[in-house]
Amino acid sequence: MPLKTCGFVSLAVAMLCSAAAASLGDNVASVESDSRRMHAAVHVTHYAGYDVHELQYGAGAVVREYASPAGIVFGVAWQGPAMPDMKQVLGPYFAQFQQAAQARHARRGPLSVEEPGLVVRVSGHMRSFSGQAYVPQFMPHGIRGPDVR
Amino acid sequence: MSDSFGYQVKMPASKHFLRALPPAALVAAAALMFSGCGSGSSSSISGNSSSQPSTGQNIVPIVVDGGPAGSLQSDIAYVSVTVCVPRTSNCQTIDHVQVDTGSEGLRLISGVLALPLPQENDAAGNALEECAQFVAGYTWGPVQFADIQIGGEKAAGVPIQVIGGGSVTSAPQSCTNTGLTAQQTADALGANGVLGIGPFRQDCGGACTLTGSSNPGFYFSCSSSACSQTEAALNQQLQNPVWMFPGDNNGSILELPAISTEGAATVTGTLVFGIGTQSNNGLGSATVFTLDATGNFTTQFHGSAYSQSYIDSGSNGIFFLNTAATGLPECPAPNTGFYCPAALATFTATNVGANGSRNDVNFSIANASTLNSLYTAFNDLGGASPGAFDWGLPFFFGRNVFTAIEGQSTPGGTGPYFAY
Repeated sequence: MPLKTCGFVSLAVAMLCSAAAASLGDNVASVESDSRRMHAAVHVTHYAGYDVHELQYGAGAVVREYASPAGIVFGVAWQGPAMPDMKQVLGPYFAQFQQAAQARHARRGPLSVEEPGLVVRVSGHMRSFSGQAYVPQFMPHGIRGPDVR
Repeated sequence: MSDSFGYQVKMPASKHFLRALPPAALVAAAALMFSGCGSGSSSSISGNSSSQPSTGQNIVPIVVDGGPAGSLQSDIAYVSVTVCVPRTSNCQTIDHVQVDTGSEGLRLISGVLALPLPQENDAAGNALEECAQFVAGYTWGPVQFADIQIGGEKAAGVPIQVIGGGSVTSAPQSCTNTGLTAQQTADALGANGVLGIGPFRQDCGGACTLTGSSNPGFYFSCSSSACSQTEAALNQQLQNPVWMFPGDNNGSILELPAISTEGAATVTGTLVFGIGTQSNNGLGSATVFTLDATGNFTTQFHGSAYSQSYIDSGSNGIFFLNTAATGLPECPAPNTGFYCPAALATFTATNVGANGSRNDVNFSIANASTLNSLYTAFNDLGGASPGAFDWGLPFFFGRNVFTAIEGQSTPGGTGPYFAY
């Protein structure tokens, strides 16, 4: 989840991070190494059917990575003083997100994208951003979108 | 012409600029611009008893209209702002600057700014630039100093952002990797600038003073060819102009009259500076909703609490829940992102301040695709936001909304808070 973390870091560091971070759909194994490099406190909570890897870093920034028993990251939620590096968070889904954001250009406010293969929401204002992203097809049985938060 | 600074005001030739007009002239100008967009209507709301236009040197007219020439925006409130090269009479008045209670600091599109403002540099002598993130997009450009005059209030030597004005024109990854829209032009921004008068003193605050990976990455140190992220002291950051005023500096009031659910062609209102500092800006019967450290309160709806909710005049709708929760379908293009119910839908939600104060808000959501496309002001425009209620400009019609700035004393307590 380095990448999610990297979004809050310097340009140079973010570029280094981007080679090694986990994105939506990736394996969760890279979370630990990322958290060490980013000096993020990581806390893993086990739930029935999934794990949540929570990284806390910087000035009140939190990223939660939701992983299936098979280790696949099916959802990511974030909160902090800035947007995360969405290119890293979304990985192969970034272009789809950008297109969806552009299609909603008339709105000047929160963004909510609910497409068959991707759900992303972005809310907040200066000093307080939050959001979630998940791939419905990757969701373990019994997990609902609002659980990714 | 000489303004109240005693400065000589030079007017740019471009028709994009309006003089600092008296309210009546501003309305006329807005109507003119509106008719230029193809409207045959002259409907205009001039105020009502709930927001009687105030008078005084601490007030300035605002207008909800189609925006800068050539565009037809919806639910954006605009004000004219005069900026000057510090300590000179070299000034320019810029019309159609968006009034935003969801951000802090003055930002102007470089293409409409014709003044040689001095650059703010860091300790190494490099130019300070900013990648500012909004939920709808980002702005990138240098931080420069200006004297600011809004109505009769003046702030000297204020760091502002000149969007798109730097030597490094490509925005850094902390902007582009948000995936959000670049708002580098008046067309993309829907305004000639943004006047951020939210509940904080600076736009970023303490987080941007931190070094290394703790810093959220808003500020950059730029040579003529490259930029690197940097920390910025509080006084180097963009400042909320209101708290830089010598007086009337504890907050502001946005006053817009009630309108019908059909909307209005244009609406005029008032931006009042200060809370309880003059005879025209008392809290009256308004309820104070104190905020958490990041500017949020809680909105309750159908048994769920949304603790990151907020009031934001810079949002052009009431954004809440989603289609599954409301039953309201999303509009087809070009209104994607807004709700399009078959009939006007009504809701009640409860705002709860950090201080425990409560208020039920009744609101309606109309079909964004069937509203009069020549109108620009609506109290029932809405869209989805599953995690938090965003009470945007539709919420402001018929209410006087107070924004108190952090650390500033008011008769309703110390900011930050919203009150209405």
